[in-house]
Amino acid sequence: MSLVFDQIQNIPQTHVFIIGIGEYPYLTGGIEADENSPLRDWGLGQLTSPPQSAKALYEKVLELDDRNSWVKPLGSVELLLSSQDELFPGQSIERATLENIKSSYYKWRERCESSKDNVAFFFFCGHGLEKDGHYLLAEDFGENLYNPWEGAFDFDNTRSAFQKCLAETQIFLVDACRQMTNDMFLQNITAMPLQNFHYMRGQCRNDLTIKSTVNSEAAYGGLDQPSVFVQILLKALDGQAAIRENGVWSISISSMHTTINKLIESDLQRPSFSGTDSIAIIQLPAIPLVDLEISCNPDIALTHARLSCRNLNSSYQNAREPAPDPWQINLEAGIYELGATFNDPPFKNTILNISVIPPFTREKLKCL
Amino acid sequence: MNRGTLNGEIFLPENISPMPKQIELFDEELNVHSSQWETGNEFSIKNLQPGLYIVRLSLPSGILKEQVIQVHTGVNTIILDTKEKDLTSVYDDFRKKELEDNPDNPPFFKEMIRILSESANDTRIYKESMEPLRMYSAHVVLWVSNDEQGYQSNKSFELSLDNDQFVAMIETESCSNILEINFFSGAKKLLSVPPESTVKINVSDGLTPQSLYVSITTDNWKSEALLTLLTRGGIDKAKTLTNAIEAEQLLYDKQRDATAAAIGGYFLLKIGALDRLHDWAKNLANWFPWLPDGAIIYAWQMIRQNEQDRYMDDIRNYLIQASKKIPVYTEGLRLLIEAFRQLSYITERKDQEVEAAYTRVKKYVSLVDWNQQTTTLNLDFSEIKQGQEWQDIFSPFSVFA
Repeated sequence: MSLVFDQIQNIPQTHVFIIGIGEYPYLTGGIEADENSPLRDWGLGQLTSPPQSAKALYEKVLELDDRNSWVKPLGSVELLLSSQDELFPGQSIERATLENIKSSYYKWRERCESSKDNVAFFFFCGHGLEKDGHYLLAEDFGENLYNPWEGAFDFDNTRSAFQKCLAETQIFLVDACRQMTNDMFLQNITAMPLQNFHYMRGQCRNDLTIKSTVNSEAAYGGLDQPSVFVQILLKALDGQAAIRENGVWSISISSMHTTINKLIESDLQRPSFSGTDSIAIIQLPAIPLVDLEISCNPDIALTHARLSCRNLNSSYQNAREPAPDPWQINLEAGIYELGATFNDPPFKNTILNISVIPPFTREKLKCL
Repeated sequence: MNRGTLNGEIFLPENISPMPKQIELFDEELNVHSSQWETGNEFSIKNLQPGLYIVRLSLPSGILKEQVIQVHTGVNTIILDTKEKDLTSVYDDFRKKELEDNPDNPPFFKEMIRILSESANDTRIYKESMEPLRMYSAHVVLWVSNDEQGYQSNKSFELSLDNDQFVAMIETESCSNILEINFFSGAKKLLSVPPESTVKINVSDGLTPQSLYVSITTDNWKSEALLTLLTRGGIDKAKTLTNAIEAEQLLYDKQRDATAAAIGGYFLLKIGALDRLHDWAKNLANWFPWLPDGAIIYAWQMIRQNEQDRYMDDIRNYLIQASKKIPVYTEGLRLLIEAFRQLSYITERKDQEVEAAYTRVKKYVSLVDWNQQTTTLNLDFSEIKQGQEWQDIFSPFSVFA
């Protein structure tokens, strides 16, 4: 089963397609791997992060549906995984072979075609390689050693082909490496797009296409954890990309772009973006939570400071006893009064009103 | 009548002071009360209900300062001073953390830490590990090309880095301009520079020689601001800075400022206002052949208008024309690559002229820093692997021949 969520109605909806591939049987460490395979030199092995990433995003998509947060209600979720037993106990999720990816893609695309107001949401996490284009590897990549590319697809041309889909809002997120192996340098890459096209395709009205890393670079993930990119994506969807407009907290294509860029900019992995106009895709039913970090200037004052934090618009208040590290709190967006009080000189008591607005706030209280 | 006025004064570092600034005022429930763009350093917001407000000052590159203010009846004043703490402290913290994470930093890196630590009056932690401050320098060459014969060296000069940044101004001519910056470390950057402009080159320090940051700006602040927003995905905000009619005007004024016209064209493409491109994108492409961005915008106008049966030859020819120079703007290069990839696919790689043009672009595309506004190639020697076909990038201008 690949259609794991089915609430399809004859109204504009959000249709999601998620692929997470960690298990590659024909690559190094895989159960079908051939010791003499030329693919052994490609440096591609088994991954643990992509299925976790796919699962985490899938759960977030459903959570947003539970809260009625999708501006266009969730209509369907197509899910393909390479190793699903532990992640979805009791459910039989189809494996992410190229044939299954094609089949799910066609069904998902057809659903997206039903209205120009639909939102098409695509996510892939697994191995990727790049030469003239970005190629994403299906689970059965390498099954045919004479042409391993039969198990991969050309993402860039797939993306171009999809631009013609009637759904005017299209979000494509690819979390995969974009490096080239030495062998690829000499090869004619024959991976095809999932869909053919015969005319050049302009971009759709509201396009957001994000690759989690720039060309020639790797994408990262911890063992058995969602990837670096997905962790940031989840934070953005959780509300860190929220902006308040007309009395409503919402997440738009543009705010997702700018927030992901901001959240990831201090890390080594930098995503690449392309897009056109923007539209709100998620509306939050409540005030979003924001990370607030409070520290002191000079830093040493932290070990003497009793820190406090009070929402000026609600009853929320909190405090912390002296400690050497900055105080990290996750709280509702709003206007807060921060305080640092000291028993001993030379530090002086400080009070400051600050705004706490997504994606995050850092404040350093002057204590001298 | 029981209402307040908020008068504000903005203090910014001199080099960014003339840039358009967005002033947003939020009420205590964080609703946007008002939003305005200012090019000056003062603003006034009238008729405010007394209460708590947040004033947010943003540049196109991001939020610079947020300040909470209690507005009373009558006149209230707020000073948004970003000159010192806000800019240096972020810098300083970032580098301190890097130093802690990388105990074996190369000397270059330690020196940078020292500069920035001193600027924040906090040298006590790292003082012992510091080496004497060195001066950094870069050799800069401006290459120009009027035709398809390749680029000629136009001028060269030396720059010295004796603080955390250095700035130079150059005047560019009506032709394709490429700036080559050779850093003392061996790192090299090639930047496509807007023609017919007074261009400011701003080089900031990096944590490593390879991460030296170079930005290029012109004195057309509004189009620069629009470009920054487009590059960073701030299309929502870009639409508050300008609208389709103003962007249309930028394009209409192409004879006065061809590069600003190109920025207006990219904006109109992004928001899908194809009808507002009129014939002006075509004129931009034809009148300024040394500005490949014009040909790219016109090709995309035709692609998006879905009249490819009629215009396919034109699309192809303008893309080939554009491939002979480096686009000034990264957005243009992104669109050029996208168009060639599609064109190559639908012609089954059989159109030799298209394939040659596509190859010409692909040769340098892996070196592009996609986060920059103007097309920037990072030629980091250490990353070059033997045998890769783009190795000839080190004869940089051979790729345009």
